[in-house]
Amino acid sequence: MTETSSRKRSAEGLSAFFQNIIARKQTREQLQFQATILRNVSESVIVTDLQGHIVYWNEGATSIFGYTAEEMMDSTPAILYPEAAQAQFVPDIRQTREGKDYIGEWRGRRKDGTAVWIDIKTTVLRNTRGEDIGFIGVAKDITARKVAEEALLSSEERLRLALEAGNIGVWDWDVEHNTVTWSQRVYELHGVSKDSFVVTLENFLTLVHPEDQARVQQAIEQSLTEHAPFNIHFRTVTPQGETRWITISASVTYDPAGNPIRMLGATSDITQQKELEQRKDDFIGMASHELKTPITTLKGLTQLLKRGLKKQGLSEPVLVLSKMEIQIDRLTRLVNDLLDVTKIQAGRLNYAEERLALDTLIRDIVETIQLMSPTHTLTMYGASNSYIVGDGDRLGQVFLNLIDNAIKYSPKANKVDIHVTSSENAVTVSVRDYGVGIPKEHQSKIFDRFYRVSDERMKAFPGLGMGLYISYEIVERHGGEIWVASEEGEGSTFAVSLPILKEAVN
Amino acid sequence: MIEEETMPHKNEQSFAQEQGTNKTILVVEDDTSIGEFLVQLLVQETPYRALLVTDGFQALDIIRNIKPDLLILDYRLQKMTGVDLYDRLHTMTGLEHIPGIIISANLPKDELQKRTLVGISKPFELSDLLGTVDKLLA
Repeated sequence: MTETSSRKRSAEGLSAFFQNIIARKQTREQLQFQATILRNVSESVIVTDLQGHIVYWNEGATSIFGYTAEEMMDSTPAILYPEAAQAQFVPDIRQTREGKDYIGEWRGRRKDGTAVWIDIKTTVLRNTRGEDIGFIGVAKDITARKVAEEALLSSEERLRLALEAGNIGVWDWDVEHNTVTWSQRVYELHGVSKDSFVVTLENFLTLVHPEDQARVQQAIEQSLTEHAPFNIHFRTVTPQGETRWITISASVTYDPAGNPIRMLGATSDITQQKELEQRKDDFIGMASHELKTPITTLKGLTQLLKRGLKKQGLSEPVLVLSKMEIQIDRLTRLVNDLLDVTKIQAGRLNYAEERLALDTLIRDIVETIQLMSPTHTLTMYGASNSYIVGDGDRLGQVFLNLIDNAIKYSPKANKVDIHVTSSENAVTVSVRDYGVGIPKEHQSKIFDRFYRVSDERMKAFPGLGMGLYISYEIVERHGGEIWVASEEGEGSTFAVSLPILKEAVN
Repeated sequence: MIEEETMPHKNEQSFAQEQGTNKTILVVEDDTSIGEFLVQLLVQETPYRALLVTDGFQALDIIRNIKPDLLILDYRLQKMTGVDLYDRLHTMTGLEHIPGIIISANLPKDELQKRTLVGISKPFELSDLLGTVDKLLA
């Protein structure tokens, strides 16, 4: 050692001495400072010796686990984690002693027995000589986050299971960037493989049955531009040549300017359902034939017999046959109504498009019903002098039904009034009776299928509750409206409005 | 099965010769109860002759010898519809302008609208059918 260096050392020694004094003072303050932090951080700080006995327990630990420092001194953290096996601790501890901090998420138990999730970091504690003397565990309460995560997971799981159970495929179309993501099920439904099929709108359309392509494309465009909900049934033809019926329901999200950003949809196979529908339609067709054939002959022969007897001037049997005819007509109407309801359900009610003089149509019906209804005087007021476009038979069915009801539900009255009015765009035909009326609470439901007013008083009136439902459907298909105004005991007014046919003036 | 209700004892040749004086209606209906009733009705209530066959092939067959003036066709026939049959008969010489009535429990309104066919639903009022027949043969 040189002189210079020895002098230097003694100078350093002196300075170190003073430094030490300052340091000791600082250390005490620092300790005080650090202890305050430790006590007050919301994290749990727990220190154990190498055997795992707790030697330090801060306020944070108390607030997370519910035990006080006094209660926990000398016991081990194992109390806090009753679910964790000893075997789980050992490798973690070994790892920590090798100098790697252990980080993990643990499910623990509070003093009161409730579960607590913590995020823990364990570090080995060493003395100044570098020897391991214990472990410090710093932990955070993450129960709230864990519960939310579990809820999300279980809701995702629920959704996944539901989609699987319903055989539903989901897809997501990024409209802006024109990229489509399909779930596995969508690939399966279209009979293509994830590896070989590139999903784009164009490629998807090649999988659609040629006859349905235009319709599908149009529906997509409409839903993007007109913000219309997207629900469509179409046929897909798999590359293997199999035709399947597919249904898609989708919704579109738009940016604030109203441009489509994203279309999210669900796809499922409805081939079986379609086959059943087909069978049902076939059944309807067959039933209508089978039921109407004997009625046709029965009605025809009755009328023929009546004609013959009339010619012979036999009024007595003619009267009997007229009564028979009324019953045959009633039977016919019931059969027709049943078939109409089934056809409406299947979306198969046919409509002709004829140019109709409304006033004549109404007058003919009123006259026909008047002939069969001697109890009530039917009076037609006003005229529309207008033409409409529609199915004369079907619209006739509506007015026949309304006038028939008016008579049926006013057994004590002797008249029914029919008013025809017109405005610039529509004609309105109202049928007013002076009968029992319809209680308010039933008025909104009477156009529902099979709805019958369940009041005791009304039970006296026969019927299946199909007429108004059918009328509603027919009027709606003609672009019109049907409604009712009624007062109990005062009678009802049923009104139908229909758009006027505007003809070009030559 | 061919029924010539009006003149059961005459052969087809002589029947055809009398067409000028007496108009003929060909009824094609596979349900014999309705078919026989229709013929009975036409014979009893109109001055026209009526012939009944029960399917389209018989109709095409009989047309070779007899040219009817009006067709009354059931829509739902075996193997072809009444409208199909009407279309085929309509292409034959002498039948280009023959009027037709389709009777059906379930009228195919769109198909009727495209053609000059009158539709009558089953069951029907006798007066409707007889009125239509008279109008078409007037």
